[in-house]
Amino acid sequence: MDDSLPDKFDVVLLGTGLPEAIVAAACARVGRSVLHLDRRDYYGGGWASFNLDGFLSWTQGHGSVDGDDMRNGVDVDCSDLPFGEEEEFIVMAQPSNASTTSPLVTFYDREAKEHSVSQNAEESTANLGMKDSSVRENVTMAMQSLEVASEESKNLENKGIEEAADEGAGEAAHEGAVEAAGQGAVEAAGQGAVEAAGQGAVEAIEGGAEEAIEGGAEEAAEESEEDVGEVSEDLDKPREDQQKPPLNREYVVSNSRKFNIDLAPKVLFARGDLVELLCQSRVSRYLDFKSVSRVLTHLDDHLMQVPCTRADVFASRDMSVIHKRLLMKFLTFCLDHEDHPEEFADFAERPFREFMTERGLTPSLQLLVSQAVAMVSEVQTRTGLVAARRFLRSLGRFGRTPFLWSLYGAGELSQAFCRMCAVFGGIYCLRHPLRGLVLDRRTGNCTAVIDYKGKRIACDWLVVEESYVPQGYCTGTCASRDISRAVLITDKSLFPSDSNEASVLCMPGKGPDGTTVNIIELSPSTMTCAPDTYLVHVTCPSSGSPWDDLAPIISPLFHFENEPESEPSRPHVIMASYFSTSGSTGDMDAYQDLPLNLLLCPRPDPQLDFEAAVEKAKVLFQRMYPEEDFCPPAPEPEDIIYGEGNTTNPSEEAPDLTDDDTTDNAVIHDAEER
Amino acid sequence: MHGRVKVKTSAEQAETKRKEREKKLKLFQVASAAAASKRANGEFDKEALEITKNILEQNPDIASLWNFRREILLFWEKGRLEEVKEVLSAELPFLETCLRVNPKSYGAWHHRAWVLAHAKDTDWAKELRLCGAFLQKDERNFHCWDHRRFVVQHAGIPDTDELEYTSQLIGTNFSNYSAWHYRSCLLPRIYPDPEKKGRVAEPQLLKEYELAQNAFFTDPSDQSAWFYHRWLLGRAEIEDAITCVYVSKPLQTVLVSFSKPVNLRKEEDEAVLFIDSRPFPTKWQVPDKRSTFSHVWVCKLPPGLLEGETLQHCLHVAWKDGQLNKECLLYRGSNESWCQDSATDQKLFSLELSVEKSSVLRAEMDSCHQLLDLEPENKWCLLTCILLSRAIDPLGHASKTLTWFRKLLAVDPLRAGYYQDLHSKYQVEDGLLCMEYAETRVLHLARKELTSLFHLDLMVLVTHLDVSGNCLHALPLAMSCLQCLQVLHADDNEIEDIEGVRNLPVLQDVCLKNNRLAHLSQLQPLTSCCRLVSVELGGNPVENLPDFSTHLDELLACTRPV
Repeated sequence: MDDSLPDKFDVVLLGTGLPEAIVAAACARVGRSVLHLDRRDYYGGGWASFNLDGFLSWTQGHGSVDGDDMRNGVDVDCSDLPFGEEEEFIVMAQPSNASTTSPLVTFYDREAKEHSVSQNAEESTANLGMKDSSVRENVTMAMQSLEVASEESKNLENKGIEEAADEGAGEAAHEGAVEAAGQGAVEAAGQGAVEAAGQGAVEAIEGGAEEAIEGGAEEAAEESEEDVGEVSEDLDKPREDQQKPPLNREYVVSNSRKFNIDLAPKVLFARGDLVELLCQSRVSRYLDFKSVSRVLTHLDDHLMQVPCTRADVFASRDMSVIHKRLLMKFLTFCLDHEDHPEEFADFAERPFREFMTERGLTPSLQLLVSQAVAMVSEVQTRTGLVAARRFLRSLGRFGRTPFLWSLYGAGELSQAFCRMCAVFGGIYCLRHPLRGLVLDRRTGNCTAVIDYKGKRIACDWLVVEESYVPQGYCTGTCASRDISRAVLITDKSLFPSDSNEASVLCMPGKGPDGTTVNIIELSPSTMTCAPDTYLVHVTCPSSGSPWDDLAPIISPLFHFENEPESEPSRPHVIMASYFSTSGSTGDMDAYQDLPLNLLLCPRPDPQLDFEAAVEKAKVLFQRMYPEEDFCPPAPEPEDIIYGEGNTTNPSEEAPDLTDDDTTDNAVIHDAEER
Repeated sequence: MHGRVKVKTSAEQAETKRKEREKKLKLFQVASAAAASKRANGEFDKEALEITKNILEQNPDIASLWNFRREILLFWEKGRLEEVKEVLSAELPFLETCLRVNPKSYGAWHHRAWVLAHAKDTDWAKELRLCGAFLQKDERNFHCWDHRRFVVQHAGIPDTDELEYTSQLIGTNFSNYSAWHYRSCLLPRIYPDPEKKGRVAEPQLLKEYELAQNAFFTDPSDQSAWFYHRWLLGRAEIEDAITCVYVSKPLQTVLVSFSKPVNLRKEEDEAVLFIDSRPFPTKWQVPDKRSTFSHVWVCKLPPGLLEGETLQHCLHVAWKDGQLNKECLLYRGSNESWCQDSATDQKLFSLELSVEKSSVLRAEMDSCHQLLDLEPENKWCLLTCILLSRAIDPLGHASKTLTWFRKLLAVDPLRAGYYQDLHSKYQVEDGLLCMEYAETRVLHLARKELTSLFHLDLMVLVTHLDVSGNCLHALPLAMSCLQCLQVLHADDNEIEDIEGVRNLPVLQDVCLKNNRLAHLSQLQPLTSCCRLVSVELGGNPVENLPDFSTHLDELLACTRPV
């Protein structure tokens, strides 16, 4: 099948994370030929979302094992590779996919004792020893059962898009479904449609169902259909009369497919660069969003809802009217601070806290502003103002908070850009590692890549995710800072109220360097967890192990079954998982002597938002094609003219899968399946 | 170019659009003509309903077609009741689609109300939900607000539910002026003040103050809550009352003034004058000889009626079938007499306050001061401070009020006229109170920056009025209330119009120096003042007219004895 890959592309990308996907879409959109490869068997790299089984096997390192053993052409026999005298061959790095530290996964059952699973039994014992020595006995058993579970899951998951493309005709239907879902979401999220919001939501779910049906493997399709039927009914009928299932390990594992667990959970600022990009490029048509329903903060040892909107401040019972005015006045100033530099000039480099004191804010208002609005810890006034402004200017666009959550997980976003790329002729291959690069000794440019089968593919530009960079280019200074992560499945919301679909909570970290810990709590309506459960993501830059970084934050908020019954009001944890992922070095200059046409995309950062990735993708594209528009609006399907002159068909060179009857000329290519 | 998807050009798109529009227009014209001819021919059939439906679905704003539909249904009601019922039940979903096309269609809303009232088995609860849905989409859609009131009335929804609904809307967005307004209609019904008509009982009133305060502290530049706050500060409805009876022997006149403008010519509002207990046939007239409604009415008495040797005459005015009365005694030897309610006693210019409420207003005043410290430029806050200080103690806060007015003029020059008039009104009120305390009939309003005159109906007894050194542009027609006015000083204004001196029967001295009277015709109202002794017009442009004094003499020949 690989013989059918063309010998030459304008752009070859390696890694299907968000920045790579945006660059790919932007290049394909302006007519460049794009080959987008990923050595993994799923989309998104460090930005991926998994179902529960997939997530568990990822923590075990399973996600990367399958293909790599046979394909990692580490012992390259250079002689049989096609390159010339003036050329040099450089071996690609083959990084691991899994957690950079030993992950720790623990299930807590109400009746039974907890089950714990760890990649490294010794490590796990050490970790668990701190908590409860009785756990040890269960480890082995739990590990075995997990193995079975992950085997099963392998067949079903994370092959969504490429398989959908195999069924060429499915494409059109899929398109329609996604659009219908989009409309539903728009109606629900808009200024309040006449139809009950539920209707919109149902539409969105149905749209999602179509996606799942086409995306899933054959045997999974039926099951998925049933699932969706259930969800829709749940919306129609009140659930009270139904017997709630016991929320335990068995329940969550058997509902594995209802989970979409992000490796890099993030929310979109309603007026952030990503939302603008999605709207402008119309990639938004492939996605559904829900407005994050509230922002929480942890003040004086208890959680409270942050008054985000004018209406919230108005209704708040936690503040006197004078404090309301002081707060509103200060927030208005933050929003316009750029127009009044003289008013904070004296404080710009001094602590934000001092400036707020000067403005008459009480200590509790100061905490509210810095922790909940600016989402920073100890920072300078200028930084604080900019951060607060970013939050504030995103208010009032969608819903009651500045944030949007991408349904089915943040991993959907990179897939949507890949999809746009494919619609404009980009070719996709998963489980397709490269052996290395071919450098032209004279120019220092990378003229071609050699894939794992030894095929030489020429390219003008090579865009790779940071971790693929051949070792020789990485100087000693480019050590990246890891990200500590925790994923919890709980039985109820941290702060139960009428609307708790998705919540964002930002807390000062316990570490010495004043970092913040971001917590995102998701309900089943965000399509990321099973009914009656909540999915909680906790993220911060690593200072020590994920356990050391995050457990002090997590334990006061949740109830663990092995603890004495403290406050019954806290959410009970069904599963807790601690792991860490590689952060970005942030400073791409740390790499030396890179070929001029080799561009690096960053890994996910610990921030709450996507801004850095979008910014980077834009910069890279502009470096590649400075004269071209960055992601101009894609034409509406009805404005596209079909069947005239094959010269305009970008997929002409790819002999397969051109179907003029479909709504677009998508070519999504999976080398493996053919 | 390589790899580009081929897309229709904008010219092609425009052409497609144009063709679609053309097609639509043609269909519309054909259908309209068909409907019109059916109506003309009296063809009240199913097809007519179908045609009108098709058009109205596209454009629900054609009133004639809605009328046609109603005509058809009314026609059918005579014999085809089953079918009418069927059509009526289908009409509601159809109307819903129309309202989605244009949620502010007068025709569609009206027709909907008609259908609901006509159908026997209306589901009012569902209709209320529809209102809620439309109001969620556009919270200021007054068509829908109207419809909601109609539905609430028919469905018998309790006012308390509706109050809760307004709380909910205000909680979502407190700029919802419609919701605040609705609240002001509901509260006096749910929590009526036991004494004052149209007002809210005190405990609830306090809660409302708090609500409004929360809103304007959150966003002081949002006007809805300020307007509502002003309504809260407002006064009770003015009760009907006779405020003054005055009799003048030399003029042979009885004058009556009322608490609000009335029309005594209307039979049910007739006022009966008793002189010495005998009903006297009266012909009431308005002083300006023009208005239909007036605060002040006068009647002429026949010569000699009040002469004679009796010790005193009793003049009694009975109004509203004798429910409201006032009398005054004219003693022998006096030329005039009156009986007038005191402005102070009636608290005409301040709020009647219980101890609790006045403390609430003071608290309110304090928090407005705090807000003003934070927002010194906020016009709403400045204005509310003025209103509150007027409500609490008009004369006590006079100087502060003046400072606030100056600030208001500076921060909101676009509404300068409004603020100046309001200030004038307060100056007049203060002048009236001072006059009352001094127990005189001399009203000093000189150099008060007046731009307009107010409360003229309370000046019926004033004999000397000094408004010189102000910014008045006119002596308004309503000045004819000042039937006792003898001396008028109005120097140094910008007066161009003296219509107000017309028909002032005892006016003797008029000073109008340094004004803007430019034409002889503007002086014409003076000719009606038959007791005029002196007129001073120095410093007016009219002085420069050729032969001015000759013309003036001619003009005033009949009035000026000297």
